[in-house]
Amino acid sequence: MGLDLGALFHEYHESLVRMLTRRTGDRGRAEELAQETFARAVAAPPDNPRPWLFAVALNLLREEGRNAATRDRRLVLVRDEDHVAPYEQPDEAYEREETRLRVRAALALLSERDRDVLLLQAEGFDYDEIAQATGLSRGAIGTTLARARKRMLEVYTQGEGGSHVARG
Amino acid sequence: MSHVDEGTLHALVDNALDADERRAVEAHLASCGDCARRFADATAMARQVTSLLGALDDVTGTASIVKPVAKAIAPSPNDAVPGVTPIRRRFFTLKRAALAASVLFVAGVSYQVSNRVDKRATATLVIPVMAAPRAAPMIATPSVVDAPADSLVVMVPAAARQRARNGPRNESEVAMADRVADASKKASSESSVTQPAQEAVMKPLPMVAADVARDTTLPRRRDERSSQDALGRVQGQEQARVQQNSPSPQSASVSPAPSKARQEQLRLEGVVVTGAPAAAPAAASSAGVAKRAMPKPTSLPGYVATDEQSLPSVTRRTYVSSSGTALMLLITQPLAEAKAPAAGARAPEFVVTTDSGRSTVRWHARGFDYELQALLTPDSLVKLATQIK
Repeated sequence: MGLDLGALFHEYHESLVRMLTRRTGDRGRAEELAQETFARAVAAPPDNPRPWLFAVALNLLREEGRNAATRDRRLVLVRDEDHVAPYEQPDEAYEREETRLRVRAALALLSERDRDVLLLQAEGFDYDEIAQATGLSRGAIGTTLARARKRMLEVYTQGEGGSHVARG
Repeated sequence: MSHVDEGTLHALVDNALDADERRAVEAHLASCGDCARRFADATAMARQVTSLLGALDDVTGTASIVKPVAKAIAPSPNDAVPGVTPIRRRFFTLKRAALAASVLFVAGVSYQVSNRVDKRATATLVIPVMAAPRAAPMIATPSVVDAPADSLVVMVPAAARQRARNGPRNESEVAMADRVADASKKASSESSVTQPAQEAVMKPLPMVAADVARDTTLPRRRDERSSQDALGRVQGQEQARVQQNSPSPQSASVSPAPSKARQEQLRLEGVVVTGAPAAAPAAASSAGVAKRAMPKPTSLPGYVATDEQSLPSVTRRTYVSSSGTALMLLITQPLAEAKAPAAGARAPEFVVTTDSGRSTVRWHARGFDYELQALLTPDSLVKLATQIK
């Protein structure tokens, strides 16, 4: 069973990096994790590459440690405040950045499982692939997504309300 | 069949049910208004979350675009006539410009633009916009301005220009652009009082000026895999921002329609032109919920429309005919609107699922996403959608 790493890379690298960037908020780190993921694919060629790659990448992320995760979260919150206070008439780039930070903050408040399922679905994974990548049963995916989406919108909308109050 | 649980509804949204299950669920939805509404909510949620996640992607090359706009505000000796671009008057009559431009538009605006971009890294594109008092602005005939490649022509009402000049000069250009936008808004809302007939005589066309910049450090690649991907990449490579001035003074007094504040995005063969009309910067730049009034119900002959707020940014409009046919129209205000690539999906979009007679038509108009669902043939639904649009 030969593995065409080139084809694999071509097909999934971009999606993987995007997912990891969304997940970590750090493009550089996402690239590194993707690199490592593909390296492991060479070492142990997978049967079902897409769910496998994403599962490995998400595992690597977890391995990288809870420390990094908490650090990120704190950073997001601090930066969020920094950004909200001083401007009255934000330009669009700023608005975009603010939206991005709020989405990140909302995503950070989800459980890891909900977050992973949302991100995988956003990469076009079908329920079977999500199940394979996360280890959840296929039957649980719909329910998980339903909860995750609802929670995501709740948290995001609350965050939005809060920041407007803060801005006066 | 008893009511459908949330997980199954979301699975239906994601097209993850097998055929039998899907038929059973859809049959239930057809007879149960409650579940049909929950399904509509699930659909809206899924789309909103997708668009929110999209906001996390790298968006580069946006900040530099604001600069030239501020530059254009600096007074120049050619500035004497408010609302008209002297350079243009000198070299083009409007008629000839329109004629030339219509050819250009079809044949190679993007070619022209990218040529200029290659030379100077920035280029200027000015697009006259039809004055349409009630409707959203329509792009009529773009023309490439005959001006030095590093200058940008923006038509700003006199009052706005005056105010921009009086502003502190040492402010950042970003802030200045904001100021002008604000001033334009003011000018247009006050125009019936402060702008006498003199300007109306000049009949200035509302203009869209676009600045096109390309980040040459990024590799050029083509990939048709998904529009989102493609857009993301195009965004990094070539980006154009349109600053549109306020509606011409005479039309502004008729209707400074807030819906114009939405982001406009045009795709001109690989060049993405984005921008928000400068006339109403506050609405354009805030990606908030419920900041924009939901569009009024379009009356559909033979149908009664009722509105329900299902989520803060989603209105569910139900049309019921006397014979009992029900149409469900979801009107969603995109949450992550500030993110330019999302606008790429704004071309009219028809997605029709016919598995068990349920059809869906989607489109985007005036800053809202619309999704019309009904148990009708795609043809009849598209007809109804056209009427609603």
